[in-house]
Amino acid sequence: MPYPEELVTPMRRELSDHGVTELKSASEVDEFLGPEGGSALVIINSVCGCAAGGARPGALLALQSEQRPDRAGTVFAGQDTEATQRAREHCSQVPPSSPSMALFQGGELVWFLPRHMIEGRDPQTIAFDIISAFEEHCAPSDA
Amino acid sequence: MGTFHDDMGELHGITVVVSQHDGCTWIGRCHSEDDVEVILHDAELHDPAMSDENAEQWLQRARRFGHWPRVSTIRIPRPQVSSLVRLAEISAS
Repeated sequence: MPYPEELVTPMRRELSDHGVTELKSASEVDEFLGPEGGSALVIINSVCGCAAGGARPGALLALQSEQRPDRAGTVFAGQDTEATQRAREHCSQVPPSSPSMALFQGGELVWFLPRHMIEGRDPQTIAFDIISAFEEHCAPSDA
Repeated sequence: MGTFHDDMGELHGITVVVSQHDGCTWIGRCHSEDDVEVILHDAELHDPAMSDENAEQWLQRARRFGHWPRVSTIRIPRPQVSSLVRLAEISAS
């Protein structure tokens, strides 16, 4: 059962107010990860205070780094169920967890940060992991 | 914004690995643990008698990608527990 929207809104806006695109339907997820190519981070947001409270600021910190994906989007687990389900389908064999983050390159999953690597960690430590993935997968080509 | 449940113990909400004396292993989100039992939500069991993977292979896969939430809630009697650690503390092999 979804949480009251008034409880969730500040958690949505913590990301959307900083340039992260909210994806609320399956078609929006498909379009976001679609044929445009390039790199994309999808943040699977959650009300879980044990983990998401560090995930959101950690992601925002990482998105300030020099090397970052072409775009960043978010779905809200437990709230926007259709969009979350579609985002998870794009993650194929990865077990569902929230909060979590997935990095795509050309529509293909190249990196995943599951919930257990977020919970109990401070935003700076989480950001360090994300930035490492950005540096590995979002670096401009030498060509 | 921190946890909503500050009175539930330090492992509340944390994904843990519970090893049993019989060789079975659970991964799940810890609800609570005390001298009586460990309660996990959204848990997955590795039973060496029922799996093609050994426990180490299964743990390494879970360490990288997470575990499948196959059991909504499981209560594990404490005398069956040989160890209880955070999944994030499992070292890469």
